[in-house]
Amino acid sequence: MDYTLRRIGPAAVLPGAILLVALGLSLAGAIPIPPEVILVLLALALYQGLQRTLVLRVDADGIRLGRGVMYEYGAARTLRTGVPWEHVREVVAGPGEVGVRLKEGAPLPDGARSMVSDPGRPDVLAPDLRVAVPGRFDRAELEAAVAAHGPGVPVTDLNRA
Amino acid sequence: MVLIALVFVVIGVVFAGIGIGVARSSRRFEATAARARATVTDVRSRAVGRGGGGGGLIWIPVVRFETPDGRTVDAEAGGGTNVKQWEPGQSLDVSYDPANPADVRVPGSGGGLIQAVFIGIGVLFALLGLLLVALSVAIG
Repeated sequence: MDYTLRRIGPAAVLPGAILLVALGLSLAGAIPIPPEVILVLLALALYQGLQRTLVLRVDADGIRLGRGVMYEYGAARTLRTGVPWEHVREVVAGPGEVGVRLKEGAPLPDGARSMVSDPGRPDVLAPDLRVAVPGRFDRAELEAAVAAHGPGVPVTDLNRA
Repeated sequence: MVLIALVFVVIGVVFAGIGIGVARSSRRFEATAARARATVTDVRSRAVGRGGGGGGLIWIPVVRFETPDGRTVDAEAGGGTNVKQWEPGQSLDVSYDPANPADVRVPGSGGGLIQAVFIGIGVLFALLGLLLVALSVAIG
């Protein structure tokens, strides 16, 4: 059982919406761009949009946290931290937020830029290992997905420490 | 003609300003940074520009080191290069901000050339713009 949480925002759906209107205008003959071209662009825009909406995914590969988009080296990049199960110590969930604590010695996960581990404060979550979740977040579904894919990995309260 | 010249001057000033700003920021960072001996744990690539690498790749080392107070830092070291210079397991010296150890840089990599290019382009555009202004005034 997987758990996926997405956030639908204007940045994700606007390009697709514009191309959908363009497709309608093209089919009606109002603009001289072949509908096939617009369809391909629409598919690309929808795919890109879908990529950017991911907030949280729990599956057999591990946990992915979608941290938004940033502009760097001349392109907009989707920031996504992916942590495989072998490196997950525990998943933490709190009001409006989900995060991952790593096992000692685990490497910097893919997509994360940095983390500082302080042995005196082992419960501090690195900013790149936590994500704000929308109101539709369902903790019971998260727990079920973690239990299904990451046996032995606990889901604890974010504010436990 | 004067308008085009002024556009050149503005572009030049903006480019030079960015270059000078980045250079000053780097100098400030280096002046206050702490140094550490780090181990490369990974080397990541990032495409430059749109189109998935059409503009080339930047190679960024991921390093691990310990601060004097016992914290372990894992971070992408800023200032990657377009040539893969590092391999996992390699040791290298890094600079980091003691107030924010996640801000790690490899001294002397990347940034200096980019700053010089920005400042150079800026000065060139500004001079070209001023030359055009002078020409248009001389002509009439």
